Amino acid sequence: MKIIKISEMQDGMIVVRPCVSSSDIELIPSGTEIVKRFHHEVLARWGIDTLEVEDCIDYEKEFLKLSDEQQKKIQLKLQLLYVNANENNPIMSLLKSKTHNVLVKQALSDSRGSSK
Amino acid sequence: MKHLDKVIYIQNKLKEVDKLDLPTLPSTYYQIEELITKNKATVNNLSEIIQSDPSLTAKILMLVNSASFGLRQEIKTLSRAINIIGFNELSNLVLATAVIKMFPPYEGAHFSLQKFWEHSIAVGTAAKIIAKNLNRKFMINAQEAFTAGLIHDIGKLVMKEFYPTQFGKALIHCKTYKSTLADAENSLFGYNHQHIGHALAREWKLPAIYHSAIGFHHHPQEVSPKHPHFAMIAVVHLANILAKANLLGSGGDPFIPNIESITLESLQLSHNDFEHMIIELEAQATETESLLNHS
Repeated sequence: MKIIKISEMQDGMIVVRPCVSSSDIELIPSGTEIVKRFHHEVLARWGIDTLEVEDCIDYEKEFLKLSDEQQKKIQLKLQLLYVNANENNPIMSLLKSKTHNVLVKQALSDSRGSSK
Repeated sequence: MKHLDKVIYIQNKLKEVDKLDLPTLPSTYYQIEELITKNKATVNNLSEIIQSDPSLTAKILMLVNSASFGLRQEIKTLSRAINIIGFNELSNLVLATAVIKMFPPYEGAHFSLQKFWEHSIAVGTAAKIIAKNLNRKFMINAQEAFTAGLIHDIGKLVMKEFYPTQFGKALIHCKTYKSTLADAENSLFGYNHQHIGHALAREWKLPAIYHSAIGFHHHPQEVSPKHPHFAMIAVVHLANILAKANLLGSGGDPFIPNIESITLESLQLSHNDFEHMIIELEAQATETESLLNHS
């Protein structure tokens, strides 16, 4: 059984879970040393022997790599989706940041699709 | 008109629709519910009822073996599956699969039932995640939360099937005025899909906890936090917003509504809890889509 690190990160947190098909997950702070230490901890708890790490996506960096047109499109879409939202609510801000990441991910996937 | 008055008014209207073939839940569901309610359920008699429906049997085995149950061994028999998931969970699964079967996913011109079910399953999944993260004192059953999330928008399906012109108007209205579908329906008709869903849940004689979750998922503030089902209403309210923010499927309008603060306060959920749940939802969203396959 392997550990999969999911690429999604929130405020420096990463997600790991014991196998692709399991819904059992753990949240740990990111950073190679911490991941290594965590590896030993989960070894005991989950009885696993392999740590498989996927590349992490830094959505802010990826957003800046998109064309001006794509960036504008994402910002407009985000504005529209949250047109009635209370921006002062920290959880609404958290959700907005999540939606932003999903939109960037979709734009990246669209770009890859059109370049094929 | 008060909420319940509107629901009763709509329920009477639905009785007229009945002549136009209002969908009914399969007898399997009621037979199972009756046995459980009367404490007469056994693995054997429940297996017998379910086995009379081969597609339901296959579905339950598939769900039990899906990642959401996290079992290490493959479950091959129905009796073993029932032993593992428990009687109440079985009843919830039968209800969930029956409702999806009634309104199978397809791509429509103005409203996609495929995206509708993707959204509904995401809300169910989010509700299950929230329920698992809650303090035990709230006594929220995770599988019940999943079903409540899955069927929370059932009123929209009644609108779409039996009042398509009005439903079309509401869809256009919410896009034009950038409002949620519930607000658009309120402006146009004075009631919304929560009232219709609540009426249908009563008509189907679903457990009362589902009436509340369906009836107040957009407006939990209309219910006292002391209401016995308030926690479930709050869970579905938050789950709906969580699924929308993750852009999982579509319930007809894209707008992400505000969280009613009373729900966070009552469930004692923090910013950190939410961060955790957002990530967990992403990890599980694709896994529960097996519900849509082979429906």
